[in-house]
Amino acid sequence: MLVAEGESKDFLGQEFLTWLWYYGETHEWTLPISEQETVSYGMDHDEEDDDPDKQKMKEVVVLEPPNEETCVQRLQGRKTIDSPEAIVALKQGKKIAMVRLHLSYQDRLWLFLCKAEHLSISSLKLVQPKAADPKQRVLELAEDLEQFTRLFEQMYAYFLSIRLAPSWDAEELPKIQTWIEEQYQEYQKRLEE
Amino acid sequence: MDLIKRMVSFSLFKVLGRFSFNPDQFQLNLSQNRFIDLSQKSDIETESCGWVSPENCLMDPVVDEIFYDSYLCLSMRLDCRTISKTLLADKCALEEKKKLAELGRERLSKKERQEIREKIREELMKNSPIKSLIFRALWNYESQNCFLFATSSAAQHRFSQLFEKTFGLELELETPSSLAIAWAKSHNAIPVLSPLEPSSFVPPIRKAE
Repeated sequence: MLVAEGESKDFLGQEFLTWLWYYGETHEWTLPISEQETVSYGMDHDEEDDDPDKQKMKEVVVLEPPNEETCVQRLQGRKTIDSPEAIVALKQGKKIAMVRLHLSYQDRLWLFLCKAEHLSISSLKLVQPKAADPKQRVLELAEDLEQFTRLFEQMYAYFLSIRLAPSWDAEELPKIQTWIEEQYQEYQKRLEE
Repeated sequence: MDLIKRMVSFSLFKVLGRFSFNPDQFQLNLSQNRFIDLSQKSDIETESCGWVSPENCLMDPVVDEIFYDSYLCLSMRLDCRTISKTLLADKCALEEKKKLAELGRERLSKKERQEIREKIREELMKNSPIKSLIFRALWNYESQNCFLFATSSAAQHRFSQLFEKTFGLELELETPSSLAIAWAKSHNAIPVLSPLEPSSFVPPIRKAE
């Protein structure tokens, strides 16, 4: 049995980006891409980080409802994913439609915007080429681009291995729901204080 | 200036089918689908799309200049003539008034109105400014990845059409769906993927004890 033509599974894009948020918060923002290797990632800027790009990163999170009954929420600025608006949006069933991410692997750091619909990448800053020869410069940039793409696809593949596993409904999904509930309870507590 | 910018936005395509390189045939395919200036086309043509040199969009692509090891640096130029709809409608209204006065009638037939509209549209098109867009792409014929440095669906569509026409190879846009299908095929998980529906992350409401 194959996936019927025209039957899109692009909803997995929103699920992936929202799951990345949950997974990051519960696994110290580190994700395995093979048996030995991991990547670090995040959705927020880090003022304590040495990297100037990460310090200056402009956070963006867009959360979309599953239907058109409620509004799309666009959060920009500082501490977007820790904001009450983001927590309430999750509790309302909204999922991430677009987010700015940072991804670290070995000595490389990439900052970029990712749209869930096609997992298209915008504003990705590539490595500063060292070569003087124009062809070599293109090859350095191309290599960096391919490495980034490979890592991002490995992250998505890891998500798919969990999402398409038989344990998704019984184990992983309840964990995500519990995490959202806990976030919401914490927010309620803060309100009461 | 580098052919690829340091800050990029892109869509990723998978090239379907095998690429076999024959320099003469490749150059011929490129030349047959090179960009042709709108001024060299008939007046009724409103757009022109084709390959240009990645180094200069006013020059034709040359096979030796676009190969970078296993990469091909492609550059697509799309020129369009556009006219303002309001300008067209207002010019037509004035022309219709003039025609009615000439004929001493109160109304024009549908055919007469269409003729006026077509004549004005052609006149405006001849003098309208041309909008040029350049789209760059990087094709790794070994990994079969093709990066188009644009994310709009219109650019993706035009690029796919030109690529397929030139090289006879189909492009498949990588999406959450296509990546999931590829993953599921390699992990015998198509039966799981096929009926898959979106999951609700909203915690279920607990019944009061």
